Amino acid sequence: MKRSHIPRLSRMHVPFAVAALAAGILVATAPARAADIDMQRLVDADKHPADWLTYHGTYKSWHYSGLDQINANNVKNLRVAWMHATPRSNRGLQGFPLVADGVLYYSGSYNQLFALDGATGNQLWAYKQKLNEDLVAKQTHSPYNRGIAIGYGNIYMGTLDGKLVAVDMKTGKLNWETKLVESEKLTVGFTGAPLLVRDKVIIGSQGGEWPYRGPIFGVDAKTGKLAWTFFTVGGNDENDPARKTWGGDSWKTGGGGGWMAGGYDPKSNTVYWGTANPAPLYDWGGADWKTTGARPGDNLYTTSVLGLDPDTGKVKFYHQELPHDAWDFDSAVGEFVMLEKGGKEYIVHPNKGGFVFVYDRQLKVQNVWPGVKNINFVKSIDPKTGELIGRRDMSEGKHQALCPYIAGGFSWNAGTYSPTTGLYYKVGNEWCMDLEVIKTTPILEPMAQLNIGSNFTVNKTTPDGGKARGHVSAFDPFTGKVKWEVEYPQPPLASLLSTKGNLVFVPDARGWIHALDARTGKELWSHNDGQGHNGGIISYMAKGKQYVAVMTGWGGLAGDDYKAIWGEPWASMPTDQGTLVVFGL
Amino acid sequence: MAPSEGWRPGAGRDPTRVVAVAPSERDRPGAGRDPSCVAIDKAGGESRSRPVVFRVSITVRAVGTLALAFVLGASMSALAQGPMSSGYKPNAATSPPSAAQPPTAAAKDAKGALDVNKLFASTCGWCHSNGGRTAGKGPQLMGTTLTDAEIANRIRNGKPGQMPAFGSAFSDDDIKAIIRYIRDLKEA
Repeated sequence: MKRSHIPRLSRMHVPFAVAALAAGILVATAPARAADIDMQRLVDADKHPADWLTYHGTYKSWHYSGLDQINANNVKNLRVAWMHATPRSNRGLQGFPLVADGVLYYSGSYNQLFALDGATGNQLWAYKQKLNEDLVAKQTHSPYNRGIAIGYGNIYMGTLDGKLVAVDMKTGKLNWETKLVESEKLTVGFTGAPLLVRDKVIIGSQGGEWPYRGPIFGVDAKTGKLAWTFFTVGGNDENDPARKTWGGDSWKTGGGGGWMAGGYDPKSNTVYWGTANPAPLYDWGGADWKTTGARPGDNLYTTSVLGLDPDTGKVKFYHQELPHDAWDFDSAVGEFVMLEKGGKEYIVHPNKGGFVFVYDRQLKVQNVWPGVKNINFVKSIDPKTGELIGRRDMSEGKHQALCPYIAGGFSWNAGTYSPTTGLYYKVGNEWCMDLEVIKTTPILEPMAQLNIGSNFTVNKTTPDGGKARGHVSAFDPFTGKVKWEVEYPQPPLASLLSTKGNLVFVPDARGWIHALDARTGKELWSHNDGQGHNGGIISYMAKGKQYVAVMTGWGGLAGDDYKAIWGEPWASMPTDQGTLVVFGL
Repeated sequence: MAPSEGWRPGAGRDPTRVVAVAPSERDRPGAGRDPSCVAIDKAGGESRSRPVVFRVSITVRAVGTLALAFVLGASMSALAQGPMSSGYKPNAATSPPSAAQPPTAAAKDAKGALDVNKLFASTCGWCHSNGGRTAGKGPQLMGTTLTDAEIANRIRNGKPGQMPAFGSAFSDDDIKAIIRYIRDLKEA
């Protein structure tokens, strides 16, 4: 790798303003900097808002851009700067693009990767992973990819057939690939983004309704050698106390998994990761779940948030958000929003069931608040202890209006925290379901199959007298108090972005992207991107100009329900198209 | 909002709350994480060489019945070793013989045919709501105008990006049973 003549900024002692100006100049003239993405740049990511170096923006998971060239006063002039169409976009584009030094990288379905000039959209290189296509054809949660990590000259990506690959950032050639999951037998692989922490790439496999044990892996970022594995179901060996929280052999097919990139606190060297639900999703044991049913016990470490040591994969501390999760309301969402208030440090984490948990940095519960109205899987959650109050456990047979629906009060699309307003903006879903719980057994031959445990239907109305719908709410992240709320007839399934320019961007399910005033929720601008959004959105700078890049493309698993609930345009919306749309002034 | 100092739900909760734990297969402590068991290849130069990967096979085998009081019939689970297993192959018969069907295959009904109702509750129901009676992620199956051959073709080959290919999961008899189930569907 040619050494750049331009000194690394980290070695220069200059005021931030000058450094930022220098960075703007350097972007145009120093592509060799692309090799210099190391931990320091990732830790300092919020100081360099021209880049978007990791899935959640920074390790703090704010999904926030510190750029304000585009702002509430001029956003009405925002227009399409360029687009990139992605081939074979079955189930749309669901990932987050990353930007380093003016080059944008993103992943598409079937583990394709693209590097584009961030200012013009010109393609620099394209990479196509050689996949076991026969296997991919047998998968359900497939063939989309939800994102990548960058560092040490590599783009890291998990593949549908169970590998972690490192592709050279400059050339688009494969540097190494490591097989981690025997997907040919387990059916699942990876769809979620990895997280780069120090010298490890961390990635979690799909799990949940799949009858295995949901491993999370730590891989050496430079060599690709597997360093550690952590089994979210029952821990790593029989001595883990978690093993006793699974009756009989149910741990062997317990589901779990950690399929989204989490967060990281460099001060304590702790990785925060969310785990998915246990299998089967619905347990015929009903209220007697402690002693009978498909998986008696609390089922650790499913539906939990973990604090992991990135060097060893060991659990430092954890909190199980839903013991014996009987509703598929996993904690796998990787948003660990790191905040400070009154000199104390907190983490805010949304659970799929619609509650938001507020923790300290050791994952001790500080508060729990509901973010959606239609919840009856519990009566409440004790805000001081996290204890579930009034669980709705369901035994074999029919049940009406369980809320929220299996797609969640919150889905996996990220919210955003703005330090400018102090508000946490999040999409909430109001929908419920009827179901018939049925006794099932895990299917492992000839390959693993889903183990749901019920037949279910989404309801078009909600018990509060409304229709199935969604909203974007501006919350106090600590208390859940709503500052403003904008309702959407269909829940947006894409992630949100907030910016220093006092904007919140909402890419909706119909295909419109909206820019709202972050302070009031007032709509300032919108644009029809042509098809529904089900992926990420970022902002970055290239050649001194700010851009907003958003993924489009429909057909994800949650979006698949929209045609049955609402008809058109989803009944006619393509589910094999994907376009990256980039806006500028 | 009162912080709960010094008390952590995860620490306080007794992980041994489960009362009835059936005797289960001992996990083999050594059959674990050998980090050196995957070979990786650094592909230099222009062409991408195929990396060498050690495929550690997962040995799945029948184990004894779950001794839970309320399980109907003989339900079994399988031992699935992790992908980083050292390749230890357990002995074939340390547990009582199971019923005729492989215990980890899709469930059969009383007549020995594929239990399609259970199959929907396990797997198909993810997309075909309400046992196939209602349109959801996938189309409504009840009253479908597709022919038997078209249904069989769809089950075997799936539809890219919409439905998996189940051809290697089901026998011809299984597929006949699924078609029979679909034709028999009525309002619940």
